[in-house]
Amino acid sequence: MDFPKLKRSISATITHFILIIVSLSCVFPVFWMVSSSLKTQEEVFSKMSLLPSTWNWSNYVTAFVKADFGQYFLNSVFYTVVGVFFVIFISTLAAYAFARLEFFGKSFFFYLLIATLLIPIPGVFVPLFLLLKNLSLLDTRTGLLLCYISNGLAFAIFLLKGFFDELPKEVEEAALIDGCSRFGIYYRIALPLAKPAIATLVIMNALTIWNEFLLALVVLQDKAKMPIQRGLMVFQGTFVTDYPLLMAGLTIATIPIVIVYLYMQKHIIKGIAAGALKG
Amino acid sequence: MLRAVLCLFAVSALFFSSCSKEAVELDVDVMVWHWMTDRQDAFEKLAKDYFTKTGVKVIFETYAPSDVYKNKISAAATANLLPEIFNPMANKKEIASYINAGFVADITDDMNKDNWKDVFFQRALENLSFEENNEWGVKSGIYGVPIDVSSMLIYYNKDLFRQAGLDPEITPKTWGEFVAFAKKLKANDIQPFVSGFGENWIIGAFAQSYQWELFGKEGILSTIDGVIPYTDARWVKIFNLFKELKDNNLLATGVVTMINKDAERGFATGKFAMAFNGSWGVNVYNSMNPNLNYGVFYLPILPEAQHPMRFFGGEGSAFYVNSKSPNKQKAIDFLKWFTSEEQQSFLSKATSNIPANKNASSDLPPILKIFAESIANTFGQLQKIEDWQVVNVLNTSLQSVIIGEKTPQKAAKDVQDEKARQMKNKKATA
Repeated sequence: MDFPKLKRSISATITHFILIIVSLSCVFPVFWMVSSSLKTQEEVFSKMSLLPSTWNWSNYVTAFVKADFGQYFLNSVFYTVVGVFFVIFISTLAAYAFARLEFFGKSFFFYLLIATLLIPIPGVFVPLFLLLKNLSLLDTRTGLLLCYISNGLAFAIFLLKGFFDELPKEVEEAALIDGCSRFGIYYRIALPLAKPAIATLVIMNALTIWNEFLLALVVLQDKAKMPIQRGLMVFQGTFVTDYPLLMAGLTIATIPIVIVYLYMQKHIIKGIAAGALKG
Repeated sequence: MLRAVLCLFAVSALFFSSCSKEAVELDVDVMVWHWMTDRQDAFEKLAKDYFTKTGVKVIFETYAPSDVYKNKISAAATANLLPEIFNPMANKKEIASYINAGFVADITDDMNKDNWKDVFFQRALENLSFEENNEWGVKSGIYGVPIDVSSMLIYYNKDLFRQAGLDPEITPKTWGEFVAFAKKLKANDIQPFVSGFGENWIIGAFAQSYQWELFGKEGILSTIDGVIPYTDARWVKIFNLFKELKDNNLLATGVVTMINKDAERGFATGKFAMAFNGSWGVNVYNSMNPNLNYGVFYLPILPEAQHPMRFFGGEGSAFYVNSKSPNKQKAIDFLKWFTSEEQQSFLSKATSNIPANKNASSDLPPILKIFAESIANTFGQLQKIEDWQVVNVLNTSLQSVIIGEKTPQKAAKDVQDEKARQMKNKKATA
């Protein structure tokens, strides 16, 4: 009997079994969401079946119309695209500066920035509200975007600084000798090598901004500027929640971000492969 | 490089295009911020009717869940940007701080004019008023307008009663009968009683009914003043009620960690025979299971008690008027129209709630009628409230008794210890 082969096979089986269980536990809530979105309100509570007895596709149309998703969808796309872009743009520049440049109070400012990660958003609602009011940015898209951008910066800078610290200085020195400017090194060398970290940050920030709801409700008043998550609110009553419509709404709201995730996942893998050669 | 510059330019253009759009000054006379998402359609219909009738434009803006709403209100108050009508969703002490800061209008004169205040259930209005010499230093008067009222009673499943051999038209009147009914249900493999006792305020509401029955208003005030200790035999009796339910396995499994939404679901799906819940439950149960055959009864009394039984309730939802708004009077006039019989009747039918206007509650469905009748017997207004730390220890001690972690005596002692600590702190601060 080939024991090493048997051992490998048992080990692979156990690994796959665990992975299947983990995958199922991840997929099940999504499956439950889609399944519940096709049920009736009564069925959600009375029958614990995996599949609906009658498939109510009309729930999707009702949810889309009732939640005004058409209006909110474009707002969310706008906030996500612009917000993520500026988080990446500012954080790559800042992180590179923290990693490579020498300036007064560098460590102090870096740790001060990192310390902001410890502050929960609800804890700053009141000062934020006052600040935006004083800047005449309350109930404006700019005000909300600035909140989203500042919210994402600390972690992005922290992650990217670590990444830039790891880059071999020799590559940059060679570029300097070849006449490349400091910005050129950042743009042509550091940035491409940081692709895996940037891809991760794009996904994380896109997810955060797309799913964000609290800040938008506090900062904005005009419904026309609200993001997609605001639409889901209409299904959650004070005492009664319309679960089928809420689940249909959630499914609609989830689809774009799942597409972004799947698309970016490919880039992360590419980036990791590229990153493996950086040393 | 060119591609990157173009990309940067395009997204920056998008960003700055949003900068150019300043906050839009909404063309509105009365802005209402509320959290009741399920009533938005009904509110909007009434606002439209009011505009047709008076030309005054009222806009209802929803901000939910209630936690977000509260944050929005406190942030807006700090920035002096509150709308004409709002509700801080706070306890009396916090409402008092809003009043003292000048954010909430005293509407006593308007309430007295044309006897507006007489249309409301007295109890609902009491909770929105401040008495003379209250502990927060608020000028006595009426500060809020009730929109609906609610109370908490016990729902029961008629089919499960029948299944256990109980007559569904006969309900327990005394604690002894209640326990006997529950035991019979248990003997027939039916879980007798459920409530969202995982939520402190609900277990507290249940206990407070017996506090009112055993101590009365004066006794409660004496307890708050520290004259009557929590180790009083009557308090031990209240803790013992919970122990009795626990010892006889009459409570739903996991009741101590159960939130009310789960308790409601369990009752709506026939898992439990009885449920302590508010009048809003009618709407909830209808939504979850329209075929549920249920009734409602008052909390069972303790025959030895010397005071009338009172129930948790009073005003359900209420609105306050921003005293700093230039449209303050328009807001008050709107609320006056909003709480008149016709509008309240419409709201009640559209949302399955008990209207705050007592004249509009004549054609309520039978179960809501029982709740409406109980409003007169809800907890009375107190000039002072117990320290939240003491209330917290009290509610968690009730939960501890249910899980057998504390005896009723130990629970009473723990609450009294906390009370003594708080009184000492107060003395030291003074």
